[in-house]
Order: sequence, then structure tokens, then C-alpha cells
Amino acid sequence: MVRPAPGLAWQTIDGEGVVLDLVRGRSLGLNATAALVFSLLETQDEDAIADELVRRYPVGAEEARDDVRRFVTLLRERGLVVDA
Amino acid sequence: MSGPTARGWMDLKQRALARAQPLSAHLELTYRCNWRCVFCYNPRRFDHRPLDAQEWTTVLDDLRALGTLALTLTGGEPLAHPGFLSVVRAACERRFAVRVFTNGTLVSEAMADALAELRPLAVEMSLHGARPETHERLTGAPGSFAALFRGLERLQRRGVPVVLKSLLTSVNEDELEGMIALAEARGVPHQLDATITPRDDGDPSPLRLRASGAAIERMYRHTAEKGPLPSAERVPGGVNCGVGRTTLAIDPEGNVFPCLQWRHGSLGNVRETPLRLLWGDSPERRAAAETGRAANDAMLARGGTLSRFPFCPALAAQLTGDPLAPDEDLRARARIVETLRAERPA
Repeated sequence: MVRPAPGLAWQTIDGEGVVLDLVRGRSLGLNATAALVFSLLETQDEDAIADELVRRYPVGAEEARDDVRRFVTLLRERGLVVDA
Repeated sequence: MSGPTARGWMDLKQRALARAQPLSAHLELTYRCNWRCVFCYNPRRFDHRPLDAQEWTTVLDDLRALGTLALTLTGGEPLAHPGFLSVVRAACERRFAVRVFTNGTLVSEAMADALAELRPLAVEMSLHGARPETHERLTGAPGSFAALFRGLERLQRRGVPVVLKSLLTSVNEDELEGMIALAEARGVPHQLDATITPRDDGDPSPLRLRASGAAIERMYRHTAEKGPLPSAERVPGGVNCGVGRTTLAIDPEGNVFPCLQWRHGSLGNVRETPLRLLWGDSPERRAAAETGRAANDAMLARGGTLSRFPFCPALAAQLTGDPLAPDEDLRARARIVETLRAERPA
């Protein structure tokens, strides 16, 4: 299970996400789905987030799990999530 | 996934303006302060009952829900609030980008440790002279110059981002270059401003400390050497600023305003009505937002230098009685900047 890393600020603006990495001085933009996943990482594990995507979007369970896993891997590479 | 481009940021800001999403909030934690700055805009009253840390935490939850990203903790001296660190911690946990405005004198080793752990976006500290005598003449606090730099060094040693800010006045204008040199010697970003405002209760006495035109020109020359001069991009039908749309301010007792400068109409009090309800439903907020739109058009209609210069309708209302009418001080500064801009190579 992962959580957003310490030292991040973020917010949603009109459905899109803005993440400020206060440690590295970088900012990141997230589309609506990525913003939703990022927000859910504060409280839920990856499987629960995939289930939420299935509830909200026309996507199968396996595809949702793969998408979440790929996104979390990307976030981990950029130091934006840490193991909880 | 990548960071928004400059154009992307502008687009997001426009969308926040259209939705009245308060991206930026100033929280005045307390009016208490251990300095007595002669130009301070806070009313001279210390009999208030400030919101406690729990009340501020409720405010933070509502700000999060309203869409705030940038949070500024100010005062008075915010570190003088007994729940200061609890509020910072709660703000960082809620993923705000937190700035702290402080005079630096209460930054002990323990406070510096705590701030380093919490990682605010920046701690911005006030420098009011290049010499202790000048700084302390303006702060009214003996020893405040050395205490400021002790606090600054404690934060720097721990890697906390710090910024020095100087308000140019008739008292310190001869030390402008000295203040710049002090900041440069410490490798600290330095922000200069010459905007002195009446106190929030209308007392105009700080205005007598305004810097001279010659000093303001020197300040802007320095600004021009380092980066862009102040400017405003206005288009017909646009808005002048975020008042009532993307900014809000809350005073120590919980009164909510549509920006830090706008004090002639509160949206209400968070002790009586949750902030999330105050913001959306308030006719005062909508009136302020409309003033922001009218100010855009009014400044465009003035043409020339003023149409391209930043303008604060809330300050104009204080100074001229009309939120759409700039005072002579602003006009003079706009002329100085325009002259300097004309001198720059294309």
C-alpha cells in the first residue's frame, strides 16, 4: 500500500489535478482520472481504487487494476508516493 | 504526466476564477505581535479571542473542500498563536502549500526543527533596514534585527526555504541597497515592496511613512535588473484580480473577507456559519467579485500606463473612497515603471 509522499501539496481545479512537489520544486498536472486516483491514494489501497474506477467509468476490473498499478509505478519513480 | 505549462497554469487560473474557487487563503492567526511596526496595517487591538487550533482545523477542512491550494499563515505574528504548530501540521496533512509570514524572532531551535519536518513552501521574514538602528526604529522592538537573523539562520541550516521581504519607507529608503546586499550575502530571495496601506480600521497614519519617488524608482530599477517589472494583463470583460473569486482572508476572530486587503464588508464569521456555506452563498462575496470585474474595465478605460499596472480596488477604496479610482501614489508608481520599461532594450 502506498500514500502520497510528505512534502506534496495538491488540489483539484475544475476536475484536473495540480500537484506541487515542495521538496524538489516541481509541479505536475493530472487529468481527471489521475486526479481521482491520486486523491484516493490518501485513504485507500490500489485494489479498492481500481474498484472505484470500475464503479465510475466504463472499464473492466483487470484493466482498471493495470491502469492503477502503472500510475502508481510512475508516481513511485518520481518520488511522489511512499510505502505506507 | 507533466507539470502544467505557463499557458496551462493561466487556463487553470481562469477556470478557478470562473468557478469562484478560492485557490489562495490568508489566515491571520492572531493580532498579537512582539514587534510594534509603525506601518503595520493591523488594528491596534489585542483584546480579541482568536480562533483556537481546533477551530482553525475546521476552517482548514472547509478550505480543502472549497478548493484552496495555497495557504498563508500570517498575523500579527503567527508564531505567537499558542496553537501555531498544530495549525501548520494540520495544514500540511491536508496537502496545502503553506507559507508563513513571520518576523523570525520566535524561531527557536525547536521551532526550526518542527518547521523543517513539516516542510512549508516558504517562510517569509521581514527585514526593515540594513542597520539594526533603522530596522528597530521601524519595528519598535530592541534586539529585533539580531533576532531576525538568528531565526533566519536556524531555518537555513535546516534547509527550510526562506524569503526576506522589505517594505520601502521614508525611514529605510537610504538603506535599500544595503538590504539587498544583506539578502544576497545570505543567498536568500528578497522581495521589495513600497505599498504602505492604512490600518484595517481606517487609521491613515502609516501613510506618512511612504518612500520618496526617487527611492521607489531605485527599487524598480533593481527589480528590472532581476526580472520582470510589475504588470497586469487586462482584457475586456476580464477580472482585475481574484477578490471574491480565488482569494479569501480570515481574521483572528474568524471574520471572513474576500481578500486580505478588503475589510469593508465581512462575509460572516466561521464561529457562526461554516466557511463552506459562507463562501458560496455570500452576497458580499459576489459584490466583491463584481468589483473585481468593474475594476478591470475601469483600468482599461483609463488607458496608458494605468491600464497595464497592477491595481488593488480594496486599497483604492480605503485611499480614495472609490474602489475604481487609483490614488496619486499608484499613478506615480505606474509612471515610473512605464519609464523604466521604455528604457529597456526590446
